[in-house]
Amino acid sequence: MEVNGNSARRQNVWDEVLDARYFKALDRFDIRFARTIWVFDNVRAGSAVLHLGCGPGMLALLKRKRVTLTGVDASPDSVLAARRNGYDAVFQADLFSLPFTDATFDHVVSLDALNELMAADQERALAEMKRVLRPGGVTLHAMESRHESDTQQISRFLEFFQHVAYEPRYALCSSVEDFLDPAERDGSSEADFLEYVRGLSQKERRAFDIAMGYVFSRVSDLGVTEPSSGKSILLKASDAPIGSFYHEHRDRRALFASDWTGTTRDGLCLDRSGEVVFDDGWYEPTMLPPVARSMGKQARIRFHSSAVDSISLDLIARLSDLEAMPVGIEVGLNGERLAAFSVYKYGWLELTIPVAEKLRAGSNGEFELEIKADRTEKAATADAREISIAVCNIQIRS
Amino acid sequence: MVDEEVEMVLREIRERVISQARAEQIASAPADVTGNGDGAITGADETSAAAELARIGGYLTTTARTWDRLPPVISNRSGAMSRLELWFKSRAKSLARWFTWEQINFNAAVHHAIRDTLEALTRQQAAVVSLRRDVETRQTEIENVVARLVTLNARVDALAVEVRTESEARRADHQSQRGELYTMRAEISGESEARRIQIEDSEKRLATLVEIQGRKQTADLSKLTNESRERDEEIENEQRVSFKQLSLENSEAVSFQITSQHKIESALSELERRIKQLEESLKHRK
Repeated sequence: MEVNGNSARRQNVWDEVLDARYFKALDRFDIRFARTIWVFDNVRAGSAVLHLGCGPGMLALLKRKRVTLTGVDASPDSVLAARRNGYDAVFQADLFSLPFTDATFDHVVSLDALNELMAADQERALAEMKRVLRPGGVTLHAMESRHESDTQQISRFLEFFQHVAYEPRYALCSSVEDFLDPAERDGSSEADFLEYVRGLSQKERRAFDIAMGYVFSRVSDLGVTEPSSGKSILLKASDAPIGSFYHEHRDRRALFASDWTGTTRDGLCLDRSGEVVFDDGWYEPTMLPPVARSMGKQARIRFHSSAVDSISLDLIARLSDLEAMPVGIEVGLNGERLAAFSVYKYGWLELTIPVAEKLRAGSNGEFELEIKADRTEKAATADAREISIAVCNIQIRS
Repeated sequence: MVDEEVEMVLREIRERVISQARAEQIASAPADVTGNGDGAITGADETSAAAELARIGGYLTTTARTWDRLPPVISNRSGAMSRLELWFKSRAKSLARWFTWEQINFNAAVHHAIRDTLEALTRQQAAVVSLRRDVETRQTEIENVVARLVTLNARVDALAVEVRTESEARRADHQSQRGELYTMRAEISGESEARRIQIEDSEKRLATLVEIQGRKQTADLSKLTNESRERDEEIENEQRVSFKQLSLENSEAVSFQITSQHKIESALSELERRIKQLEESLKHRK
């Protein structure tokens, strides 16, 4: 085993990576990605999509459908983050003067970008959207009607588009974050339920969000109309007749089988491969930089390879007081220990672990790489997750 | 004829008397009231000389009258006696010519001598008077000069007194200033000594401080250097991992591109094959 590395920068970056190459298929059920999946199911593959108020790039997943994804945001930080997450082009501009020629996009999408606009400004923004939308193009919006009723918003869209469809949403299904957000929470929520939600661990919260997302997905698939919450609606508008509200262009194959297999000239890179499964021991990738996945006490990666001669990866400890309390790391393959060592210094460690002869040819080419850490620590994040180390550049050489 | 001679003699006598009286008057005149003692003496001398010259002039009337002839024959008698006397005297006159001639020569010589002497004395007197006037003028000038000198002397004395007074005041002032200077010098000396001691103390403190600061800065610098080195290493390390990630992504993209290219090529081949099949089937139909 080779170890290169030294002291690390102590940082607690909660900088979620939305790059499509890092998207886990299971996240389609996560209620946080429910609107992204709704847009994913309503966007035609290979089309041109404009995302208004793109933020860090919540629609980056659309790249799996080979769309040309363009973003617009007023914040330069958001512009940078969206570019980093795989948007083809991002512009810093406002919604009233978009820097595009007429009839440029097949879809114009916004998630909460219209919330804060007053009626007159919304009309200006809608006129600008219609200008850049191709004939027959569809515009999709997720909005929270804070200032006016759903009917008023629909009638405004009808001034610009011949066909408008909408569904009230999120009256039943909300994420843990929404439940615990005082601004979102109404007075009807039961106190003991909120107390219960507050006491959930990170894994339990994720399970809660996925359950909520699953229900949302099923309700949508079955066409069940939720009661109006008076808060959020999903809206589609077009001059052409509108197809299915939830899955006009549903094709989820790209969610499961990415073209990105992780094959490189030197072997297999697991980080961005669509064929590799990172279990729930891993947290979503974050930008440290570079993009890396943090883990808790134990995490596994399942992958397929004809043979494995060696495994190399970059590792960094994300714990405090490392010199006094080194973290013990154990790396195993298919249940067999490959290496065990202690990390007592900060900095990226470059590990190359040779694989024993007996393990090189796994059962039917299926392998499971397991990493264990002997201690964790609560990260300074909103969810106070337990983390130990972060890993990236996981390469399998055969 | 005799009357004329008598008249002439009488006139001579009168002139002599007049001139003598004038000389005496001059001699008895008071001294020069404007002059000083010397001037009065000089005026008396001058007056005396003038009287003497007047007297000499008076004598000359006599000599002038008698230097070339003998006295006329006269008689104070009357009658026959008078005639006798006159006759006799006229005979005696011719007889006595031989020795009276010499007398006449002598009289002429005396007369001329006195006259020349008088003229010379008169000129001398005039010269003396002129000289005396000159002397008096000079003396006046000298007196004026002396008066001016006296005035000047008085002024000089006054100035000297003033200068002396002022000098005395200056001296006193100077002494006072010197005293003050000595005092100040002593104060400055004391002050500078105190400052010197103070500066020495400050220098010592400063040196200590500089040494402490130097040590601290050296330590800080060392710490900063270490931190900087660690930071550099961290960044280098981070860059290494990032570049490695980038390289892997690039490699994956190349692999993806090759795969896609193969897929497209195989799709094109398949398309070409099917077109050929279609063309063949069309030919067969025809």
